[in-house]
Amino acid sequence: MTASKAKIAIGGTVIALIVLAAIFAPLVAPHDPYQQQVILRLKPPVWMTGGTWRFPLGTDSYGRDVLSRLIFGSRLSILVGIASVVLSMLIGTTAGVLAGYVGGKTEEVIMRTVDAQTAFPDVLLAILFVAALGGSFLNLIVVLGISGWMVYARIMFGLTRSLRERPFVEAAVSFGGRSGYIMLRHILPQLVPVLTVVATLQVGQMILQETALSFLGLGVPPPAATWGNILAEGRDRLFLAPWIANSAGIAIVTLVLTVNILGNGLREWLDPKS
Amino acid sequence: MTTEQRGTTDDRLLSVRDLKVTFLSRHGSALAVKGVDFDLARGKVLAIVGESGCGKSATAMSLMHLLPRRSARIEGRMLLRGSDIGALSEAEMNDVRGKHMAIIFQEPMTSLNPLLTIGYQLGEPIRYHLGLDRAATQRRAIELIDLVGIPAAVQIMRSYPHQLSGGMRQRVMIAMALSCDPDILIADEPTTALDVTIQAQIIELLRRIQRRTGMSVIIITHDLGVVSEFADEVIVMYAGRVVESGSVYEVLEDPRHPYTNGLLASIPDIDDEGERLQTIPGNVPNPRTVTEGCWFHPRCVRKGERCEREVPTLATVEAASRRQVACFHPVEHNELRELSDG
Repeated sequence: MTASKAKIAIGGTVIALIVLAAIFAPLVAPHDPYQQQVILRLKPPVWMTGGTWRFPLGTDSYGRDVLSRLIFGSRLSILVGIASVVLSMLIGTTAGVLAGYVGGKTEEVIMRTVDAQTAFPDVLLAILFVAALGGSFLNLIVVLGISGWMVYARIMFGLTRSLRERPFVEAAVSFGGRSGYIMLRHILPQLVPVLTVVATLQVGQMILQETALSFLGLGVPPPAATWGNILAEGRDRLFLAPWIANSAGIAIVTLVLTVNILGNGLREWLDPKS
Repeated sequence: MTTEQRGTTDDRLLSVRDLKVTFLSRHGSALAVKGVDFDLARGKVLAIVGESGCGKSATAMSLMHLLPRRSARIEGRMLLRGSDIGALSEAEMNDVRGKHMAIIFQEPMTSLNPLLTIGYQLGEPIRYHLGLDRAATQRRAIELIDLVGIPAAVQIMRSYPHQLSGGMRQRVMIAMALSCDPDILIADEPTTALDVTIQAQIIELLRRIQRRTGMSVIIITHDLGVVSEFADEVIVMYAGRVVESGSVYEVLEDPRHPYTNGLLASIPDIDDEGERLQTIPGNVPNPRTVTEGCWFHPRCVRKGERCEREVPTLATVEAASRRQVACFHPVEHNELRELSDG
């Protein structure tokens, strides 16, 4: 097995397990993630003294099971990650292909917007949005989608510009093909391999962004179980109950890392030169 | 007699008058085509001949509006059946491209989209222009594959470009160009990228289809063998200008411009075994530089003092024929083709 296939296999398997756990969260999670039991608060995980198998990863300061909260939290993290990637991919690809194919003023307007927004800090943009719209699941997706489209626009712009000069595109024009048709039928399909890789790598980025925003209190408001929220709650008890923040941190790192491994594997596998 | 007066209006399908193409770039502009006139009659084959960089492809591309508008300025009139296609908008031009005029390029290996089947791509111009339903499009595509001499049409329809050879792909490109029965087919060096044996087949195919359909053809080439086999009329271009024009027989048998003469002298002759091949000394001038007088004079063996000062215009040399030459010292009748060794 080549290195690229190994990466795809490892990344794919771990992600599949996480996604399955997220889908079947009510069956997999041992407890209700929102059930508070004050008597059982701050129980350490099973490998520490005082830990029990009842709460394998311990409980938080309200007595909620950390493992269950992590499993339910993965739903939101993954959903937000994928939905925001889809949104930014749609915006960015449309903008990039248009700028690259039409050129001229269209190109100037789109690409200068990209430059301007790239120079603007993401977090500041997110704060503006949340201040204006309020924190919710949907707003989080919109914020992340809008803050991430420039990557796609830049890459698709460059690719489209070079594709536009390819003889088969020129031939399609010479037979009377309309611009919209040529962009959809002749240019877009050529971009799919690159899009797949960029989007996969971006899912990891978006999950990180989501946890960062939730950590700052700009994501889905508590008590919703999200990885960023668990991390934020754990911060207050970092010395007394380090397992809360640590387990969220490890979950985030694992998911982002495996997504990146999968993305890199796909990139190597799709690259004809390697 | 000027070009305006020759022929009747009726048999003129395409008239190009004073066509100028300027390529604009950050480093300045370059006049690649400097005022070209020609007529194409219905059912005739016109060859445009010249070295690389003489403006022949730029002429063809500007007829189809295929040069990027931002980096190429096109001036002059291009009358297709009396209406100026130079003035058409991009959307109006889409209805002309592929339907009234079609072009085939020199790179058959890359002119087809690698991700789409031959059948799908062959159907594209039919769908753009004829609005046929799926079954009719399919029937038309199969008909076209048969027309260009590819066996097993149904199987070819399902194949992808990489499964076909260069010659087959050029046949597919020809089929696509023919799909809407265009009035004019522009073939921009259609055989340059192909093997010699395939070249002959493709030219033979084009000639057969031209005879059968009666369409007009503009063939751009630097292969004078192709010209003599296929064309009726020929224009010889040098540095963006027409230097000689006339019927193929006249121009090839009795070239009057020193450049045409030089081109013909550079063809290897099977009888002159062991003799050194003649060449035209020097290179085609860079369109950005400005040459005083006739653009060919630095390379010309017949140049006189006047050639360094004045630009010769295309003028009729014999009253009885339509041929025109732009030269102050044209090659005399039946003068031996010879060039200096310099």
